[in-house]
Amino acid sequence: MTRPSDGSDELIKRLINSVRRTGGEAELSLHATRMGTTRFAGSRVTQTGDVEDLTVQARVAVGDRVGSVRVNAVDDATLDRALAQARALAAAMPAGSFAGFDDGSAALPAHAGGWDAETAAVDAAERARLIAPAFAACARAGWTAAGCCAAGETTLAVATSAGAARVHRYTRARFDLIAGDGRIAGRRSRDGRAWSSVAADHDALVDDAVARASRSRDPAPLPPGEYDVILEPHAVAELCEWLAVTAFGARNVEDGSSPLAGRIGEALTGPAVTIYDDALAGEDGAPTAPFDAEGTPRRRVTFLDGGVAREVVHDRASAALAGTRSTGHAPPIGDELFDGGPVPQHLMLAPGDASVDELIARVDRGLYVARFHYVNGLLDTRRALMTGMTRDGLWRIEGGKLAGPVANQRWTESFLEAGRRIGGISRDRALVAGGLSECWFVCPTLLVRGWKFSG
Amino acid sequence: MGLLEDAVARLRRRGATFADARHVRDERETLAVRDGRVERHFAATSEGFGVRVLVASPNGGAWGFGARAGGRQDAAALEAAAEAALATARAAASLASVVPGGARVELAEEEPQRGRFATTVARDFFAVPLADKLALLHGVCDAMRAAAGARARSASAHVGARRQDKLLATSDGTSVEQLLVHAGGGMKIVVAEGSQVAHRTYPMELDGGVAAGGWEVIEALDFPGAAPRIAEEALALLSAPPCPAGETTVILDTPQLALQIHESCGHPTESDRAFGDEVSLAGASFLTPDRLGRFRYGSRHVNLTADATTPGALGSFGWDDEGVPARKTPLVARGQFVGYLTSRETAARLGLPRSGGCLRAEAWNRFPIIRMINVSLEPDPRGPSLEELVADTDDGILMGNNKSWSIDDLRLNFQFGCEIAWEIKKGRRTRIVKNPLYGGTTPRFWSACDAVGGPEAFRMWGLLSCGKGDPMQLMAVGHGCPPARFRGIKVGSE
Repeated sequence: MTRPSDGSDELIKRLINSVRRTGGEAELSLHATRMGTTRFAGSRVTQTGDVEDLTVQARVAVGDRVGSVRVNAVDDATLDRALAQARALAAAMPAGSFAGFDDGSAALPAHAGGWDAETAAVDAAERARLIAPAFAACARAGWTAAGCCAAGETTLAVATSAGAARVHRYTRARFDLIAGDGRIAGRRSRDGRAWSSVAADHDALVDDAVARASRSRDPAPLPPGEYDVILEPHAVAELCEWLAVTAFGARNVEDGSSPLAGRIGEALTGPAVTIYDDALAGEDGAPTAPFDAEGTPRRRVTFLDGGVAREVVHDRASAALAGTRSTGHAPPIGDELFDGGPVPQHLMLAPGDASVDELIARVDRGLYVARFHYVNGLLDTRRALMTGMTRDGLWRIEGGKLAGPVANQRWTESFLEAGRRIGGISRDRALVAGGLSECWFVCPTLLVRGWKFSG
Repeated sequence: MGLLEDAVARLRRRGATFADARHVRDERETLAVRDGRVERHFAATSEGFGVRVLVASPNGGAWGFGARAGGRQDAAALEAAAEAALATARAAASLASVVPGGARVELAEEEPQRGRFATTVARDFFAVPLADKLALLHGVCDAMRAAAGARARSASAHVGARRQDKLLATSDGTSVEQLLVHAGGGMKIVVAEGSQVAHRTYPMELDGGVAAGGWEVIEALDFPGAAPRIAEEALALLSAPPCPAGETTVILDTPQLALQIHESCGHPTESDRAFGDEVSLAGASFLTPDRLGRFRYGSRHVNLTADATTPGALGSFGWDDEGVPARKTPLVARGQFVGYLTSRETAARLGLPRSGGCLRAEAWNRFPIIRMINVSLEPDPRGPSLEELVADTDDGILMGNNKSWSIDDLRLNFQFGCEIAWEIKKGRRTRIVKNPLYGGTTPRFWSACDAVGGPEAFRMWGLLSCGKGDPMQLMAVGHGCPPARFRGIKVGSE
């Protein structure tokens, strides 16, 4: 077993040597993780673990036929066996349209770095030290604590017979706290590539979660209708996560289900909305990844530029089909949820120029939304029509000021139509880790006019 | 098995009050074709050890877990997993003194188990030649395209299978081995005309038709037979009117009812959710422990069970991942909430003598948590067929395959969208309507159930991607049901 933290040079050499030994056209792509997690609820630990795993994908091309095999070891014998099996599968495949393996000729783009030694060394005891003050603060306020604390590292490596030899490591950390009693909840969380940024101002984060819970007692009912809403970054990120899988990938355009299909160059939302994928800049602490699972260097891709549809992400196969070049967005190996082709994993919504207080002041009668829950974006993907619930904090806004709590509500709204009703965007953004898969969102707080709630 | 037994014995000597160790070898094959080309194909193998320990703490015990990749004889990987489990458990125990009191960790009794279980397989999926699989998939795509004509935008189909070879040893004497196999597949046609886009799937969206077994599962689905029909229905959706809005009678056909059961019965009866242990991700449950045996969940027609003994179902096995044998547990009896999905820990917390056998992990590298098994709506012994149910309905909507799903964090307020629906007028299916949605709150919805289909209409469905836990785990679960009818349900198209 090679750990993600083992020497990168030794790891990539091993992949290169195996590819060379097999002869012909071949690729080995590795995704290795070490992740420590402590999950808690009712102010006690409910799940905790320290897990190391890796997946290696061996692909071999025989003419224009490709075979693919995945294993979870990197010893020479396993790699050689995987490549041989991939070759046998390739021979059994029908004629295809092999797009070629990355040849490594393109230099990796500059990126913000991503590996932090302190984060990689965080263990269960260190996680417990961050959790303990949260337990104590919640108890003092009469609440219990639920949430999760995690830290770990990931290694990506790709070697191809065409000459690519790339390796990259990054770390990530997360602290998520819900103060409450199972019905009432105040929630704050932080994600980042460095433990130090997640642990910074910890007391303030804990106090805010506790205060939010206290401000959520006795929520009032709300008549269905349209309300101006302030959406915190976590709520915005859920919308972006659905756009990532239903709108911004090449396959969504191929089959016509994306709102961008056949509409490149058209204004789909108002001018305030700019959404892009950037795996390099590390904005707001986002982990970086300078190449994808095929070894292709990533580039920034802008989906909506001032509301205008621009482009979508590609891997090598979709790019060949569309007559363009890969943007470096092949789906991560072994992720069962990302089986829909190329996908953005570092989605960013451009900031505005307002403070959150200024946004609230612009609302005469509306709602302040901390988070959404169980959003589904499959209702009408051409319109980016979604439904979902609120959770973990919903308050009335009256006369430009935050007021009392409101019971959770269902909403159904088209992102495209809502994007034409933007009343302001915050200049500060937050990093939010994806709920389902390894992806990140950097989102501001949004003011949207006339959000549709059905009760 | 000896390696695992030695490991848990060593953990006991080192202070663990309980330990279990698993080795899982997981093999998968997935093949997907789309518009004449192979879109995705891989054969995957993953194996490793997962070790769970319980150590003493001020509230009775603290869990720890460690996982490392390695083959069955890789003693070093097993030892590393055990060390990681102990370290995480001790750190968890250190937190127990921060807030004294709270729920104690105790385990319900279970007899030590020995033996072997294997899914019955008629034809090994993994041994079927790739050429045969490709011929089937390309054939049905061609058939869908031919039926859809010039308006066909995309045709796709997939098959896949998974085989898990699991060894489990626990410190209280259980040593069991299981070979769990499932297979399945599905297909989809997308059609377009102008700005209108529509699609149909068969046998259902999400994972298609999946069940325990081998290639025979796929043969039984008869993809070629269904291809022309779903293409024609997709074309009809292009010009269909939106589902009319209002309150009406709804009949849920089994693919949609399976998901309704999953979201509004399966998840809320998970006892870890009921205790609030899942609140930070999936949420909690309106079925709190004080409501057990005292809460009216639905009408007298509603009988829901959890049963891991059903042959051929996706949520069936010999033992769960802490060695509890497969069992059947009533969840809702004649409309009354009577049971939970439990583990040994939550059964003890509920004061129950035995676990319901629902503790499962997606793979060797995940902490086992409470998961659905086969959560099913029992048929009415004298209930109608789907067509008899339609014939008995004067005015309403028949909902087909699922398209979208959303429910709140207590599993009360839900909204489902379907691919297709048919208006029912005077006992007959009439026109197709598009973008049908229905919604409601769980107890009110199930209380509006006035008819459940009979045993002949019962169908077992499987879902592969039930997401829960942190880190996320995708679990294979089963849901059986006949069609059922619900009165006074809000429907619409947006």
